[in-house]
Amino acid sequence: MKVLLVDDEHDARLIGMLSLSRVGRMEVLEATNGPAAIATATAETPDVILLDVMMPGMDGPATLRILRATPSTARIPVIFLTAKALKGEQQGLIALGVRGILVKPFNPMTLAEEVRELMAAC
Amino acid sequence: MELELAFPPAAREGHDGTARRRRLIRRLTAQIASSQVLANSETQVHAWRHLLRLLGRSLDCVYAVLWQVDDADDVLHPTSEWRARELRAPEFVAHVRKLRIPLGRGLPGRVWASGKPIWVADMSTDDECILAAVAATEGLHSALAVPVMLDGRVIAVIEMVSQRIEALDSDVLETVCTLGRQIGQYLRHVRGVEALRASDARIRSVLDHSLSALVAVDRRGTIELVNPAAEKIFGYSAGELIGRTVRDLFPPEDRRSAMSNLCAIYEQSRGRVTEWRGFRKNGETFSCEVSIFEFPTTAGQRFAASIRDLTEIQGMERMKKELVSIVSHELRTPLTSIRGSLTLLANGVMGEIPAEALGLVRVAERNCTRLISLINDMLDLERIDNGLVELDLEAVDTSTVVGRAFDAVRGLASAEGISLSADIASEVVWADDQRLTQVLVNLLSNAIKFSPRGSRVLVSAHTGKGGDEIQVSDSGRGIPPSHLEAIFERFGQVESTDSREKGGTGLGLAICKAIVQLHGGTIGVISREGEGSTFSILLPRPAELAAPPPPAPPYPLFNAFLATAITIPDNVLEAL
Repeated sequence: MKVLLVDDEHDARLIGMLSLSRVGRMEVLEATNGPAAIATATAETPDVILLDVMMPGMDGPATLRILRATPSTARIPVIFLTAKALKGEQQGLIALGVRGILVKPFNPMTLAEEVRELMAAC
Repeated sequence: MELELAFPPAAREGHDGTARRRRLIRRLTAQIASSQVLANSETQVHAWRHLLRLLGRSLDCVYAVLWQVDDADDVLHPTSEWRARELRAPEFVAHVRKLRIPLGRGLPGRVWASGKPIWVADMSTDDECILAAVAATEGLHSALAVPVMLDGRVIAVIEMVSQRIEALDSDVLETVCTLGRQIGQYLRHVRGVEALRASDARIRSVLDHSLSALVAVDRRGTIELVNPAAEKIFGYSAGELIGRTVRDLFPPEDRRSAMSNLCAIYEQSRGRVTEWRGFRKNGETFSCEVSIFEFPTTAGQRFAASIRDLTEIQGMERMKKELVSIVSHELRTPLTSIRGSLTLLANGVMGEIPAEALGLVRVAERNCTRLISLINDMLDLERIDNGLVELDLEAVDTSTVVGRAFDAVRGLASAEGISLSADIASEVVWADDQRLTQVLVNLLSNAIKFSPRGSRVLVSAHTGKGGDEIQVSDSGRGIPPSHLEAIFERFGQVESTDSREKGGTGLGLAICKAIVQLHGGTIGVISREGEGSTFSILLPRPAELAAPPPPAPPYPLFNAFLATAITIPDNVLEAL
């Protein structure tokens, strides 16, 4: 499985990358912001995009809108990464049309498994 | 008003002198009775001096002394004196000033004992006079001592000394006796005035040092009294505030609305603490807490407000919230990165690491997890306290919630060798399912941690009179009765080492309590030491959920003062 991990925080991205690649045996692509994520997604067509919600500049929802509006990326499943644990906030994010939500901080030993479960769920 | 008495340079002897004295004393007595003589005397000290002078002159004496009863010492001691210009008796005066006279001794002591005036024709030859010898040397002869009575008790003795030897008839003595009683009555009044003044001074001092601003107004809304805190809050000096209409202390935009429905505002505000908007001299509007009360004065009913500026408190609250968010982000973000790294290392994801090093990595990971839990719990409590947590109340399937809570603690339970069982009699509870799960996970974690290996933790649910009750029972060590209240407080564990040894944060039960209370429910515990504990949460059903009281409307500051105009003539509204 080819995953695009989008997060502006270096440390969180590194742990996520190691978790997905070493524990989950996934191929991991990285992007540090929305525009870079759109460029990589367009060029590489990953199987799934893990997209951080809170990013400076173009945030997760804004990036998602462009991905959906771009034909080559419109059908790529997106999973939001967020620190927002409140149910209301999560429902708002789901309503934007994503495959699911993973709440940060995630457990690096189970992250890949959770991604696979969400991908298998539909 | 000064008493006008004629003092002939040398009194005539005999019948004429006695008659004149009697007249003078009667006049004096009458005037004291009508308080004219002492009307200008502001204190007891002044009153006594004035009296001694008048008495001494009217009786043709040269020296008058006031002996007061000293309750502590049980003696008479001189507290005031009057000397005529012609007095030449320095030794006598010096002795008097040093004297302390016990009951029954000397002329004053005998008057004190008998409560009756005594006239001594010639003290220089009287054996019972303490200073007879000095009096003889310095030419002092006749002496009169009069008791000052208050409530049937002698409180002082006035002694007057003359340079002549003369007789005084019983009629004059009787008159003098009346005089003593009148002086006593007058003193009662003076003492009352003094006590009132002292009380005023005390109240003034309290007001001056009060941190709350105090503004009192008359029925027209005119400011009559302010304290330094009021000057500080509003930025006006006391001089500028007094006489000003209280309307000026409202922000201009509130003044008009303050003029309508005054009656309702005043009634709502009386006896309660309400929040208003105030207006400073520099044009700044600020929030404040106001408590309004009324009090009677001799000039009629008055209204006052105790006012606390909330600017600083609101600033502190803002800072507190900012701090919470800073802690949330700045502490949690690096800690989660540390824990993520440690988890990967501890699980050998980055390759084999030596056993001893692995042990250390696990210690680091475990403590990091504890720290994150503590921060999460603290933030959670802060959010609840600050009203930032809103419940998503709905009918929740009890078995589902309990099952979810079991899933969360199953790992811990199996590690501790504890079995979990459930007895669910009520199908649904009215709750926020995420928050209810959080409460159950907390209670279950505690039950598991404090239960002996091999024992069972039971969750039961049933519907009762007050709502739905969910209980978590264990057969652990129990809670001593003295700790039953404290365990629901922050860091209120029974043993201070519990959080370290059992891995808790010390906030779990405090969070449970806060969440349950947010539901309108209650949480409690029944426990026997050595036998186990049962924690119960009672959640009300929708019908039993009382509607919250409507919030107090945020009327602007001081409107209530204007309400003072309600019962006042119509022109007052225009005046304000």
